[in-house]
Amino acid sequence: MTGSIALGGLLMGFVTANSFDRMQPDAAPPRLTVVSDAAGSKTAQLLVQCAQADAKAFRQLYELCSAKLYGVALRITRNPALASDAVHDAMLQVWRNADRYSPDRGSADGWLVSLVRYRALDMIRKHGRETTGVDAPEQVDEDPDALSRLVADSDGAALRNCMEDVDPARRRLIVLAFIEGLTQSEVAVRVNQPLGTVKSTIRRVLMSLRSCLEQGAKVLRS
Amino acid sequence: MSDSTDDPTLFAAEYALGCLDLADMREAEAQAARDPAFAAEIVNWQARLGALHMLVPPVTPPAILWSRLALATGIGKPARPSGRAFWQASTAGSLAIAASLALFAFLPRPPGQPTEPARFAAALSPLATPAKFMAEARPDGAIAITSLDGAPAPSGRAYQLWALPQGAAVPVSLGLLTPGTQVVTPPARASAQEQLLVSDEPAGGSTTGGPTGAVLFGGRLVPISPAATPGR
Repeated sequence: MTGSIALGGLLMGFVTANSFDRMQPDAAPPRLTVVSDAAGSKTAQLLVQCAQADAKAFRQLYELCSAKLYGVALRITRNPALASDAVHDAMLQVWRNADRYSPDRGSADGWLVSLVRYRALDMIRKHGRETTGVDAPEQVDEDPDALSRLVADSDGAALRNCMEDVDPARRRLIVLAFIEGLTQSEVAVRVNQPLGTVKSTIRRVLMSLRSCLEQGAKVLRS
Repeated sequence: MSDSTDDPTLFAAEYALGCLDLADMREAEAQAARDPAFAAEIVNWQARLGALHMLVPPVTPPAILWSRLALATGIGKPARPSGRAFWQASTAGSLAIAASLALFAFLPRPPGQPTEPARFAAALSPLATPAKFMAEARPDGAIAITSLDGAPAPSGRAYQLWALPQGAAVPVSLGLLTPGTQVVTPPARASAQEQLLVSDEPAGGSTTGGPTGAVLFGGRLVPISPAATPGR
């Protein structure tokens, strides 16, 4: 018998066809609007090796990224078992489909995080978020210096520049949705604003971020 | 249904941001599956927003997570200069249990078949009864135990961990458990078939030297590498 087994709601290791896979068309490569140093990152190098079934590289990738991925999943699910499942499923997907990554898809770290986030989001949307799980970590979104963390690579620096132009109260809506995986309705409850206001604010901020990032990319290209 | 579904750019942005409910998530995924341009738009938004993950502090996952991955991928001997199988090299003598009603039993790889995917078996328990703790006996003799739901004992009560080696009649206290992962060092090295038990005790733990409350959770250590099998 090979494969993974779901046990008692604990070791739910089945990997289902992930929606993220289905939205990675081989044709029509995406047009990037940020300058990425993805191709040169250690993560990207390891992904290339994983695509060649290099088990040593997979182990190194796990050691390099698992704490980041688990932190992201735990913040969304608030449940260690679900967070473990999300990372497990995403890493298994990486092992089997590492060749689907290319630098055109953005930073390698961002790609990995996307896999874990979609898995974690899928879990909590289906099963609900644990209310008795781990305590909420520090409110990174309300930390005035939080944006200083967005400097680890050029993607982060570009995003930080644009996020700094956004009113902090509006910026918080984006961070709550991305970091905690809150739906628009949940964000509205959290910030005690009407749902319609939250939706329209999120959309305006997203569009302004896109505009800002595209302008920044143009400057860098020129 | 989100009223942004008629604006592909906004819809893709909201999907990548992660703020859609399940129905809209599924709609976005279906749209991406049939529309490469929409799928590319989502990837673009992932690239734009992806760096936000840097705002989240890293958290070390439970050690058992890699074990699960190594099993699921069939990786037998990665990243070890000795050339020995990973299980032999990294978890020689180690044992794992899933406590509560879910038992996770690892069977050793047959000798002489190093490239065959890892074999394992499991005793299934009712799905309505999720496991509470996961424990792993490490090669150095320590036992790492993780509370899977992170919930503490009820107010005024404590969870106390006990070891009961096969054939022994009296359990030995390994201390009180707190939410999260903690590492305890048993007085004697853990052995196969040894039971780990968690009892309900008053705050501060049992004062009698043995469990005084109900034994709420239990599991049996099972080998996860050939080196851990009895007799070696």
